[in-house]
This record gives sequence, structure tokens and C-alpha cells, in this order.
Amino acid sequence: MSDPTYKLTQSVRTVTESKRLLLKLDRLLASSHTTTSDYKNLSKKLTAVQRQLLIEDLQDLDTTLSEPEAQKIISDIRNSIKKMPIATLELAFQSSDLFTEEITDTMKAIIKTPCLVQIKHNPTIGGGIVIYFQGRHHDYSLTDKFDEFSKV
Amino acid sequence: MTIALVVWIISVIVTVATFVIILLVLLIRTPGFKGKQKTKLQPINEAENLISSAQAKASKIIQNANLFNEQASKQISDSLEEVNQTTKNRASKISENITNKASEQLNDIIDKHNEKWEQTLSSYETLTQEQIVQFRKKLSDTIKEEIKNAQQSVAQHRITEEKRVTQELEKQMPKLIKKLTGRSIPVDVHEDIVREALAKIRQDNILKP
Repeated sequence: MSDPTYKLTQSVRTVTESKRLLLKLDRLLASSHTTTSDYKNLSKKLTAVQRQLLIEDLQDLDTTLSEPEAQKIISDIRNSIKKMPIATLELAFQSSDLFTEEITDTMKAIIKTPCLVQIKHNPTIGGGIVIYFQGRHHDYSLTDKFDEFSKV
Repeated sequence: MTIALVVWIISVIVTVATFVIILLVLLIRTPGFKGKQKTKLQPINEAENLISSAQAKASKIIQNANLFNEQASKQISDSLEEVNQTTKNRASKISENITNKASEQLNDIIDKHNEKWEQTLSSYETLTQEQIVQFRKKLSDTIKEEIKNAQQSVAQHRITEEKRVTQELEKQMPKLIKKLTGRSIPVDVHEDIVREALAKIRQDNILKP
């Protein structure tokens, strides 16, 4: 299971975001650093929020981290992100950025565990939502309602 | 002199005309000439006479013996009428370019049909009253049975077809409704439906990691 203690891990919400962040963390790990303050400078490849969270993650543990220790933390963050479960949501319409953000937050609140949300457009469900999470399928779509109606 | 010449010319013209008339009369009286005319008309007349005779005979037998019910009588009458019409048509076609060979062919056709129907009609004549009753009953039963089978077959086909159409409708209608519904719902309504679904998911607490 992923480690929920890292703020940077918790900040990642979608699969797309995680892919971008993992790419940046890989580049960061490939660089040579000596002190935590160097990470403050070198982690400019991240967004301002991500960089701040990474610094906080590093400082929270120890302000005088050695380079191997800092790299281990970054590696742990990377692994925790990679291990995060993915919740795939199917919607019948093209979701706006605002609504995507809203339902992502809602999903994370419902699941109560760090996870990545992935939204897919599937017009065949008619409306509502279909969720695939940890090998299970939860159908709250109009298709499901129609099928129930047809059975009746 | 002039008068003598005119008289001579007139006598020559009269002589030639008389000769031509004699030749024409002789030609008309020639046996071969008359025979050809007779051969042309004879097969058609014979065909018509034979078929008319057969048809009249059949009608008489049907009417007197009361052998068949109305439907069977009509079928036989129609068959005879069809044969009659077909033969007449063929005779008419052949008569357009009639030759001796064609006459023979026509006679063969007439003989063939005549023989066939004479044979058929003769067999009807030899039936006893009891056989007629049995035949009529058998025919009636057979027709009833066939009608019953046909009705059952139609009813079964209708049931099968209704079932197939119903199944097809049940299969297609939801798809169509979903497709139309999905397109017709405004985005804000879509979003509300999703919110309600998420609220229900939260309430059901089904997404336990």
C-alpha cells in the first residue's frame, strides 16, 4: 500500500498528474545533489506547489538530510505514487476541468486513501457514472437503470 | 381503213381477255388449289370442335353426377378452360404460317389433349354412386385437414415472428433510448446526476480500499 505520509504523494490526484510528476522525479533522482538546500534550487522542474510540498516532505523528516537520505525519500515518494490505486470513472459527457477537479476531490474523500483518479468519456452509459476500482465495478449509470427496467 | 383497224384491235383485246378469264377459272377449279385452302382451316376448326366437345361433356358430367363440390367443379372447369384457351392460342399462332407440317403438329396437340381429357372424363363416368360419395367425403376431409394445417402453420409463424420482433425491440429500444437520452441531457444535468451518484456511493460506503 502507498505511504500516505508524504504531502507530495497526497497532492497527486489524477493519473495524468502522476505520470508527469514521476517523470520529473526520475530526472531529479538522476541529478547529483549534496544538500537539502540544493534540492530547493534544483527542484525547479516541478510546479511551485509540488516543489514546496517536496521541500516540506524533506524538512519534515530532517532538515539536515544527507544526499543518499534525500534521494531515498524522493525514491519513496516516487514508489508510493506508482503504487497508488487507480479509480477509473466513466462519464457519458466530456467533463470540464472544473467538474473533473470537483469529482476527483469527491472520489478521494470517499475512498479515504491516496489514490489516482482517471476519467474516461463513454457515451454508451447514457448518463451517471461507472467506477472501476481495485478490480471491482460499480455501475451508477443510466444504462444500468435501463437494464434493470428491461428485466422488470 | 381506219374503221377496219379499230375493229381488229377490239377483237384482239376481247380475245386476250377471254383467254385470261378461262385461265383463271381453270386455276380456281384445280384440286390442289382448293385443298390448300381446306388444309389451312381444318386443324383449327377440328381443335375447336374437339375441345368444345370435351368441355361440354365434362360440364354435363359434373352437373348431372353432382360428383364434386363447388370448389372441385370450379377447378376442373378452370383446367378445361385453360387447356381450351392454351390450345386455341397455340392453334392461332400456328395458323399464322400454316403448312402441312404445322397442321400435323396441331393435330397431334389436339389429339393429345383430347385423349387425356377423354380418359379422365371416362374414369369419372365409371364411378359408382358409393364411390362418388366416398370420394367427395375424402376430398372434403383432405381439404379441411389442409386448411387446418395451414391455419396452424400461419398461427405458429405469427407467434414466432411476434416473439422475434418483441425480442429485437427489447434488445434495440434500450440502446436507442440510452443513445438519445445521453445526447439530449444538458451538461449541467449530467453533472447533477453524477453528483447524486457519488452521494449515493458515499452513503453506501462501497468503495472500501
